[in-house]
Amino acid sequence: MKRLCFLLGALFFIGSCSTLPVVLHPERLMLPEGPPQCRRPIIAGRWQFQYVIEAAFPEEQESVLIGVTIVSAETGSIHSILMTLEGMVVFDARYEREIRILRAFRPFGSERFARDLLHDIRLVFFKPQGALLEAGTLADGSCVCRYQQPGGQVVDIIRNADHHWQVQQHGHWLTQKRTVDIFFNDKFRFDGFQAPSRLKLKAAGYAGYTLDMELVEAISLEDYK
Amino acid sequence: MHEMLKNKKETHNCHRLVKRCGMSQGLVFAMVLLSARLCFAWADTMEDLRTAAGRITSISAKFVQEKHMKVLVRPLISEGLFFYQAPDSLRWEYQRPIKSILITHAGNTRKYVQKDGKLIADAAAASPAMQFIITEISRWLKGRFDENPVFTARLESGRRIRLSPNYKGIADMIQRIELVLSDRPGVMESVMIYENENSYTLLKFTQVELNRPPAAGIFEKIQ
Repeated sequence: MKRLCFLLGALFFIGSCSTLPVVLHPERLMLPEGPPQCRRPIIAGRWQFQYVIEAAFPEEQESVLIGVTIVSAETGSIHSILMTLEGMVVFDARYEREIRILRAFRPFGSERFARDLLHDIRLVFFKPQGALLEAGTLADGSCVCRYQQPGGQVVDIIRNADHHWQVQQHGHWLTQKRTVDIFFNDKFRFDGFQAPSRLKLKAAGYAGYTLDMELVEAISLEDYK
Repeated sequence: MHEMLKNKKETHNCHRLVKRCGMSQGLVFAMVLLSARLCFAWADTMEDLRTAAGRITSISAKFVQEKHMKVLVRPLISEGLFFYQAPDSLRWEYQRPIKSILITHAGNTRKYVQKDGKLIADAAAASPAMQFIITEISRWLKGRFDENPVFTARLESGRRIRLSPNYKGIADMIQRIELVLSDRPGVMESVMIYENENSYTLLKFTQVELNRPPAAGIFEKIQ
């Protein structure tokens, strides 16, 4: 009986792991920041971004929102605001060592949504926390850098052949938890930083959602200190 | 008595909508914005407002919407166009940062939002929340500000109308609304919608034209 349980557990574990893509041609990790393909544009300084967002939640009508994200590379703080086109704020939360929800209405009212969204923003703008596990290529030829996250999660930073970036987060059982596609264009290229012109965020699971975010404006806050 | 019962029922419906509809807070807010250009009248009393509203057959205007928050270094700007034709046709159109059109005509309400360069019908137009909004808009178009059970309307000096929410559910979303009328009869100068002390939306209307019929098909075609 014990053996059967062990076998079933092992099969379940193997099955769960099957979604973690295999890294081919692993490179030797010489530099702490990893090989060049790991170095996607990450934020420098303080910025305010305005996005138009198409949001889709389960059992909710798809809605178009305006999003504002204020990010600081120095402090690691994030302030995220979602509002209707008419200017009604439906979500307002800040992260600075801890998450503080300032205002939230359905379907943005849960603490989990706030935690996940702020975490996703962190994945987009900052270097992943945790150690670089391996780097190499995926079966489709994309470059990948794999990071071990605190809490046992794994994050892959992938650069595809068409030069768009993707962040894949895998949960404790290594099932794919969320993906963020990150696109850049020259319109939002600044000295020392290139802002993502489009973000497509997909959270898996029964309460999953998608956010398709198109950048409208990027303002460096260094001039406003 | 009948009117009181009707108002009570409407208030109950409003609460139900706010509770039930996921995005209804936003739609209530949209209702407030749409009310912005609904002050047609010139008057010292609410009764005068109602009387003057009856003289308006059509309105067209441009609007600029500024979203102010303490945390923002500068306000977020949206721009658009507004058209109204008595008794109940209206078009509220955002042109930037994203195109979005709300049309009410002949008892039907439609909403379109631009996606991938095309205007796509938005199912939100058929929701009970939107129907509630349209009912409210119709009331305000007739200058009946003080008949809305959700807000207490007060006409103040300086051609200013202040709307204060009567219920906590609404007050959680909107602290107060201040409408400033122009010295030109029928023209709204600005609207400020306060969510709280750190956040408000300012609407400014320009190029307002009264009683000039809008272009044919403006309430039927989305382009």
